[in-house]
Amino acid sequence: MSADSPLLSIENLHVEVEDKEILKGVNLVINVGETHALMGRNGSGKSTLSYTLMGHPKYKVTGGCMKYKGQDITEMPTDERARLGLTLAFQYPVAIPGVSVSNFLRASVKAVRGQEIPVKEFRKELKEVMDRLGVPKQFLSRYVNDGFSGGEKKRLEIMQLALLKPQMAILDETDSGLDIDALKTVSEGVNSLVSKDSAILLITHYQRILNYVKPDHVHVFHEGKIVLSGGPELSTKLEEHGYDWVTQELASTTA
Amino acid sequence: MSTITREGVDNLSIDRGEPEWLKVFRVNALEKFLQSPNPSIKSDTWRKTRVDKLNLAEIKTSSPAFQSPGNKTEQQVLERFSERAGAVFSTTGNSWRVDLDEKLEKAGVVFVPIDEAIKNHAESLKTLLESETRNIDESKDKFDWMQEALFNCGAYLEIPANLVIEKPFLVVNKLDKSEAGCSLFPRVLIKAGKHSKVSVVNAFVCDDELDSTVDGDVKKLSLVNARNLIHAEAGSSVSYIEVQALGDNCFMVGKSTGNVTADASISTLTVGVGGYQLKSEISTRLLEAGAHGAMLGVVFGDMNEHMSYNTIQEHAAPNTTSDINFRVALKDEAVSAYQGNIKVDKVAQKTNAYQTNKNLLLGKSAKADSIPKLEILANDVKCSHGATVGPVDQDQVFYLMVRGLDKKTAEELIVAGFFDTVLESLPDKVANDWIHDLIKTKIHKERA
Ligand SMILES: Nc1ncnc2c1ncn2[C@@H]1O[C@H](COP(=O)(O)OP(=O)(O)OP(=O)(O)O)[C@@H](O)[C@H]1O
Ligand SMILES: [Mg+2]
Repeated sequence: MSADSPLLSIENLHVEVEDKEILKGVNLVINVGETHALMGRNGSGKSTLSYTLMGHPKYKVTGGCMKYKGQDITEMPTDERARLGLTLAFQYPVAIPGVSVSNFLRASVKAVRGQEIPVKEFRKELKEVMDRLGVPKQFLSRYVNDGFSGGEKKRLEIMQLALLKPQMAILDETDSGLDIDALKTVSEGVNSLVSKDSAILLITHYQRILNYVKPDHVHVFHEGKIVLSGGPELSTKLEEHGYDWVTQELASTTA
Repeated sequence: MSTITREGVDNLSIDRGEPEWLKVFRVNALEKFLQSPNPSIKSDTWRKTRVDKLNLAEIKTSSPAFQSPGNKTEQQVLERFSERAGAVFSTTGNSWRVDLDEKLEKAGVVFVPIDEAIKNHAESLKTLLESETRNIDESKDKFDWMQEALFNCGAYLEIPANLVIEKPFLVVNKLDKSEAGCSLFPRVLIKAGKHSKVSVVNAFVCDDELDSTVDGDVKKLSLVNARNLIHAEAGSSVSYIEVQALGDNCFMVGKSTGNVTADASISTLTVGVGGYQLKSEISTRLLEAGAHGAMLGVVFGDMNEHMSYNTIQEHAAPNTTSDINFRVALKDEAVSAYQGNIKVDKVAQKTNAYQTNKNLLLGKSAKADSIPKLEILANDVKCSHGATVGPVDQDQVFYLMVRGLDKKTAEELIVAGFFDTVLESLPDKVANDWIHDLIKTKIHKERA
């Protein structure tokens, strides 16, 4: 990667799910050190974008490409992307009965770092992250995302990211379903993921998380693409006025 | 040459110096054996098995010379269960006691090889054997009669009333595969006295380096035909774990019956991890009010293995409960058939019967099927059953891969978890670890 090439760039991305086109030409450039917020109506395709960035087999790229650190990752298997530092906090984390959170975390940390870490060291690291994000110790022996409340699942997602320290994290509605205190802790967790070498893409419906996690760029997603981009003021405007004005402006410019 | 003949049975009985009643018992069984047709793969209980590949004429039933346990397979099992109440070891036609906790022996526990029980505990044994004959004669097939005629090893365990024993009793049956066509006819009888508590691990193993005796294209099969009978007296609690870890030329037919009386409970766990064909019937009969039966299953097949499991939860008295959780995972071209029978007699009001069977297909050519069979004659019962057959959930695999796990590791973790939801309830840590290791080895096993 050359020093000035973006961390992630998405060029004219088209994606089909079950023979239906959902993404219709997404363009987005994210540089290290940046926080991007992605907003948009239900069903506009935000999660589709996040799954496609991670290479979910159901989501077929029919046009365009995705580059991470200058490398085309469009055809790259999911786990390789993850090991390059790209990961996703799921909007709907899937339950995996029988697999305990602690076993899973160990396997995951080992895979991402490429080596086994001593048990003692791992425990210490885990304890630090759990304390910071208010994740109770009992969660470790429970099954991955199984029987947890909505908010608890989101906490677990952010805890995993805090442990794995991805360079490029996509957070898909990690703020949904959190109580007021949890929102604050989770936001701190999100903030800790940003450094001069890393970046985040935060998908959200609400201004409240953006009070804690200050975005550099805000984008509006509409019918499978980004139709409007701006600074932090854009999210405030959306919070006040909704999306109608965006669609109306779109209609008048294309008419 | 097959020794399943009148002469063979006579010699077996004479060589062992058996009493007349047992000889009569065996000869009667032999006659029924000879009259019974070969099981048909079209029948309910033998469907999808490879019983037509088993040539009984090639099975040798004579007892070879005495062997002591020095071999590594059985030693490994014994070492694992170093914390045990006692152990009996069986190999082709012979059984002997490895050990029994002295305190338990003083407290009245009987744990002996089956032939010793025939000599010294004839009355109890006779009652047990005959009760079985009376109850289910008409449902016996050729292999049941074969077992009765030829059983030649195994163990007898009797726990006195009120004795609570945490450490497991271990029975290890080793099939000697140095010779193709060898056989094993073990029989384990367990009698738990009133309000006693006991746990038994019954393991079927063979030496792995002797896998696959191939003669041209045709595999020479060995046969294990095992019978297990548990009698739980009022208020007692029995845990029974059966591990079937045989080689790919072993044909195993097993039948296990638990009789549960008032407020007693029997929990069984059947672990099927290796065999050319594993065919088991596990039934729990709830005979008096307050009886409870739990039947768990962890079955993992690969290559061309065939696994067939029938469970029977029979409610014969009011206020009884049963709970079945049977899980099967198949790699490669492995095939399985599960049949879950729930029987509720007319008198068995307030029955609570639960049954679930989940099948995970890991190989594209693996096949599993599941049939529930309900026979409910009472009207005030709670009964539920459910079955699923399908591949690994791709969203689960994706989730793990997003966290860096490669596809194979992700699937392995999911399969291990699939079984863990059953094994988590197992109190015995040693047994649990062993089963985990057996599954793990098989998960990681690459096709040769
Ligand atoms: N696997 C799928 N099968 C069928 N349709 C799908 C699938 N995934 C997404 N879609 C469709 O694609 C569209 C975009 O869905 P997506 O989940 O990306 O929306 P979203 O912007 O994340 O919405 P929300 O804000 O509600 O989370 C929807 O119409 C949805 O029904
Ligand atoms: Mg979404």
